[in-house]
Amino acid sequence: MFKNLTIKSRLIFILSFLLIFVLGIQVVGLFGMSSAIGGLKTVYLDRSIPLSQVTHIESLLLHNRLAITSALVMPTREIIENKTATVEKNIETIIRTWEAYIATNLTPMESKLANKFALDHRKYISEGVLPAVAALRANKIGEANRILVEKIRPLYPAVSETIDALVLLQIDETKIKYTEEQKRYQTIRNILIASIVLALVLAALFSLIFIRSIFRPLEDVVNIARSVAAGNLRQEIQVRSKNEIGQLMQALKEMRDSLVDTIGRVRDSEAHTRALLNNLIVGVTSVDEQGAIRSFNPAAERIFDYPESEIIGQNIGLLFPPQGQGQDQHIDYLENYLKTGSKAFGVTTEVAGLRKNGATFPLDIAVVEMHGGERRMFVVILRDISERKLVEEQKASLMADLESANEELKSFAYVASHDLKAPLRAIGALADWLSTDYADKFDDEGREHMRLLVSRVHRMGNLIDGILQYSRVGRVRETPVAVDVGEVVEDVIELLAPPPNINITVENHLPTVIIEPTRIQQILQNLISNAIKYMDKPRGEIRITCIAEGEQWKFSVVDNGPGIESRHFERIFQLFQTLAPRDRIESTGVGLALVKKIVEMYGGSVGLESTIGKGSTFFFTLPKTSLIDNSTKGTAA
Amino acid sequence: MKVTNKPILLVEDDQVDTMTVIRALKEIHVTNRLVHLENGEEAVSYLRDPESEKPCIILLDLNMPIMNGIEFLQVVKRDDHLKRIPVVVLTTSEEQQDKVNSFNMGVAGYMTKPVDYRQFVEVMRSIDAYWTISEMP
Repeated sequence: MFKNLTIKSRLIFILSFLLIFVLGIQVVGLFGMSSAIGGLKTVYLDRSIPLSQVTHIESLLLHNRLAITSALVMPTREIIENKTATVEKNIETIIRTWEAYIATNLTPMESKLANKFALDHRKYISEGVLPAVAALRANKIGEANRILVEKIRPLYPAVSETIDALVLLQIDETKIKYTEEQKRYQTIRNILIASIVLALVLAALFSLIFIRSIFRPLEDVVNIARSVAAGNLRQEIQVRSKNEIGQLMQALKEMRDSLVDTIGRVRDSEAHTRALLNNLIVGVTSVDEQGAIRSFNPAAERIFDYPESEIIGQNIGLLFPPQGQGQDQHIDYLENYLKTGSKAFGVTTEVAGLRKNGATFPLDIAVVEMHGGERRMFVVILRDISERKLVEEQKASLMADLESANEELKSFAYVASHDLKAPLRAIGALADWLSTDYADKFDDEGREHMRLLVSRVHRMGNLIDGILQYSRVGRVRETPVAVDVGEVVEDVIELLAPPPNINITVENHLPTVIIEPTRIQQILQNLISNAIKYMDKPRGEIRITCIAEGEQWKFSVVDNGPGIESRHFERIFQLFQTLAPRDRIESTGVGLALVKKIVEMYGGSVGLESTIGKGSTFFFTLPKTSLIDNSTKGTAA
Repeated sequence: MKVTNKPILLVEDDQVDTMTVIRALKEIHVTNRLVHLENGEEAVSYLRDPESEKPCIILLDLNMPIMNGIEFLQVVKRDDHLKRIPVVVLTTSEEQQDKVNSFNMGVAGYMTKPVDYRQFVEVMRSIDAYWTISEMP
């Protein structure tokens, strides 16, 4: 039960106990003192006073006898009177004193002696003293003398002896009483000493109990706390009591449990991180400020062929081929990171790595500084990119092959056309000379054949020119400049010189675009010349418009010509495709293909809407991003 | 041509083109003697030969075997004795790069040969007209 009390109540309990104990000792002391005072009073009243009374009586008795004797020696009248008065006065005093003595606390022995004395004294007075006094007063000296000799002398010794005995007895009694009181004093003193000793013992005992019940458990708590701090989390913590120390122990236990819980969670998280690290496909290694490797994950092991146990503690420079001054270059690399500061951190850099077997390989590396510890740590992320590099190289070589093939194809069209032109020119020249020099030798049919020959030479020349033009788009590039489309349209109309029955109008302001001037001219020239060339109405109407359509300009060339069947919409944009026989309308079939190629090269699109008999609308778009809006100063044709 | 006593040097590998030039010159009544050489190398050795007559004008094709027109120009225009002779390029090429290269070499003119012979005669007439009016050193 005592164990379950709090230390506070225990302290209160012990202090109260000690207080009561001290009070008890005080009471005992006080009681002893008062009984000692009572004893002293008894000694004084019962012994000292009776002793003085008895002594007084003794002296008065002696005095009386002497007075009678002296009166007989000189029996003058005066002396007799004087002495008898003294005797009577003394008797009176003796009787008074005796009565006072009898009233005191008498022992049985005293009472016996006192009775004897009372008898003897009465006889002595009545038979001796009083008759002698009477004889003296009657002046009968002889008679008085005779009484003295016969009565007083024999009676006196008995009285004297008894009173002496009483005096002696009284002295003895006083001694006994004194000794008694002395003993009582000693007893009280001893009791007090014993109480003090007991109090000291009790105090020592309580201290021991305190040490046992408070300091011992406190030490236990301290030991447990130290052991927890040292990492021993599995130890048993018993809560033995409900007092403050018990609460402390409970708190310690809860703290330990929470610590165990937290550590458990930290371990779980660490295990999670470790599992993540172990299963990462990129190599991760941590490095301290000196460049020593602290951790090395399995992916890094695979990349470099070093087992983790072998590489831990080694300098990270080991993983890179030596450069220039020697092995320390990667430390310099790290130091560079440190010097240049955070901006270089986290940036992936391509470096060469060194495998255990001495082979070098391309490696992506990124260094991240790790915060939290006292020392700077760095996480180095490594990725073996040799396979990727291989693929990249293959891709690059493939690209190069493709590019050269494309280049060849481009120049093939050009070279082929170019080389076709020289013999064609020779044919043209020779045919011309034949028909000039031998004009008189040819008949009409011959002349017609020669005319057809020259016209086919022209057609072939045009075709070749078309191919050259077409192949030149994208191959030969001019610098794109700001071109006012309105001005281009004006130039084109002037160049094409449309017949008077065809009216060309620009409906709204045309913007300024950034483009190769020749290309925009080719687009408009082809579209407008087609509209003129195929016009079948007596009054031709050609309109040129432009509207903004999102991020693009949409240009349209609208005519009221014959129109095109929708099944031909795709075909007409292919190279060398024409819808009319070439003998009727001279056409190479290059124009629209050229327009499509140019527009698509600039990221636009080309198309048409058409109604048979009513006309066609050819439109093309060009992105605004490379265009400058100039609608405020547009031109009208 | 303003100067009629000096020959015209034609550097051309194609036989019909040569015939075309000769016929056109005749047609527009140019009386200068015509020296015809088939490639740049022959032309250079002719020009450097102290015995040969220096031409008043060189008509140069670009596309030729052994030494082409541009290479010929590079040699001639670095030669202090030859660089002042006017060179007119007569070619099939409409390639921008050829035009740029030619003018970088200081040519006096650049004509493309038309497929049509009549037009070719007009080209030759223009050249003759120009070099009849133009002063020469």
